[in-house]
Amino acid sequence: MNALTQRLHQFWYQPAPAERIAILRIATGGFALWYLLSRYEMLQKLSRSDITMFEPVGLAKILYEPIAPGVFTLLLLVTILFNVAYIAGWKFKWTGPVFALLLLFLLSYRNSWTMIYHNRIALVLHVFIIGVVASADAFSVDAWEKAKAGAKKATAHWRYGWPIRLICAGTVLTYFLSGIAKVLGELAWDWVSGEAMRSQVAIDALRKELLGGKAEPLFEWLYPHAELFLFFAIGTMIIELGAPFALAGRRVGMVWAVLTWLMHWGIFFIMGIRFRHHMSGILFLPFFEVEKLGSWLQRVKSRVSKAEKVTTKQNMKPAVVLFDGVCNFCDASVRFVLDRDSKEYFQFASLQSSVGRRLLQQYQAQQDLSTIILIENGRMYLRSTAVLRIARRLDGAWPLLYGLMVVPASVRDTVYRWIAQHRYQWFGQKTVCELPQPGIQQRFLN
Amino acid sequence: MISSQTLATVFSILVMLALLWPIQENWRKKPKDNFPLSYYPMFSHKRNTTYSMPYLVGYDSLQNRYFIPYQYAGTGGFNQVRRQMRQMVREDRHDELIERVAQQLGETQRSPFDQLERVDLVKGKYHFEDYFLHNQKAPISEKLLSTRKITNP
Repeated sequence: MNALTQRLHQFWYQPAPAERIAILRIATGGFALWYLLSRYEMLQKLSRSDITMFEPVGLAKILYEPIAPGVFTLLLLVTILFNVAYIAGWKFKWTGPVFALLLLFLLSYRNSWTMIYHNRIALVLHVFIIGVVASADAFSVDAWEKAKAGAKKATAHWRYGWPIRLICAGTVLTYFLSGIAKVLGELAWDWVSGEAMRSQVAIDALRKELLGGKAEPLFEWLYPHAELFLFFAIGTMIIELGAPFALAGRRVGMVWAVLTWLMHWGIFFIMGIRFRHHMSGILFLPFFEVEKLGSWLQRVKSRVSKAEKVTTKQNMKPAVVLFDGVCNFCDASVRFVLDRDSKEYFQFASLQSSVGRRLLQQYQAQQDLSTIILIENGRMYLRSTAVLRIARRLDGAWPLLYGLMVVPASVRDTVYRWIAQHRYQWFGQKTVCELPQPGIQQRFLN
Repeated sequence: MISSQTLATVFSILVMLALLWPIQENWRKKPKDNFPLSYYPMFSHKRNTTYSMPYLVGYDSLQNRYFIPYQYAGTGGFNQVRRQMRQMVREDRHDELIERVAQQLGETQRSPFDQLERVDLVKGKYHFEDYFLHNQKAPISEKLLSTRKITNP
């Protein structure tokens, strides 16, 4: 029992640098400020809404009736001022807790008009925790003033570590509760069949169409494929009910954070619902050593500039993508890249072809059908790194995915391997490598 | 500021307990959601193959039919306005709602809504599979709740 308590204590009070929680303060504060400023007009209009729609929740329950619009405007402005102080870390001992309470009240009030926006809960929770702990000992006016007075720079300490643990624990708990509500609901474990999710997504699309909007194109494509919703429902359950495991270790936490982040992007593409706090990744920052982001970006920048120099020297030689020629998923991925590679930067060869085998020999690599390979500027890239480097060269917004390079390769590759392991099972397999269609043959080295 | 481990432990336990507290709603006959302590009921409900809801339909001089965007019916996000409409319909406040929408439409300069002559508040019932798989966009049934002529100011 003592050993367990000791381990729990070590886990909870593991020291962390002051910079980490300071970055979280700036990120959450920045998001809150963006929210308050971008919704300023809407929030004002809402305060003048039909009084009969007022159903107070949370901290707003202290009110018997809506606040007078003038008082609400004043409250909004005061909250914005405290928000700025929170970001700047100015007199944080006072401004931190006051802003946390103001935001909690304001968002409770905003959610008191017939609709609860669950996507704001995490923001309130994170600001609430960060606001009452020592999160302004770095990157703040307070820290700058202390340094000016001769104080030493804050070193790693438990007081910066535990709030981050609590934020992570709180975040996974919210997802866990969401999973519990599904299995304790009317459908119980039948929810995993995906039918409820499919119906819910259809209801949302129908509501949009009847209220002057449009269903998402991806939804229209997905809806006839009922079997895919089984896959999505299982994935959702793993993410939600498995959320507490994200606390088991740093890497597990990062994998969970990336999967959950992807889930929210999936919801956006299918339902058009923007969970901005989640999709921006700010919600998941506590699962990463964010203070190392700066040095990592510098490393990537120097690598990219080196690679660019080589590219210029080699006069933009096309890159070669080696793929498993009998895998339906890989085949679809190649077609996906072809459709979005207007500069014709990539050439392709199957791993089973003589060209593919020769290239592997040249780069002293073994034939491994479970990974896509990218040969670019005389270097070979495998698995998720290859995928992200390919995305970097595609048309449209796909190069944004390259930002995922911030996730350690071991974490990315774990997800990649999992998909690769199941690719035949999920998407099927061909018996022979197909010949490319006329018109794109010149892009294939086979 | 929380500066001792004892206080930090107590605070951590209290926050976790508070977050877990709403789990009990799952066992209640009439669960009630809250903010920020929610039990996250989204997506957990059983759904039928049909769905009915109130919405607004406008008509121009040629009797072309247009679905009226939610922004004309209330303030807030899409789902918030939808819920407000549902609540007003449930409370039989059809005329109040349609009056507000007709007034907004009378003032709009957005095409094609500036050409509308009449707006109806209806409650329609739809079948998903027919709607999305078989492209049968017509409702199974549609009940007129209230109607208003649109007059330009």
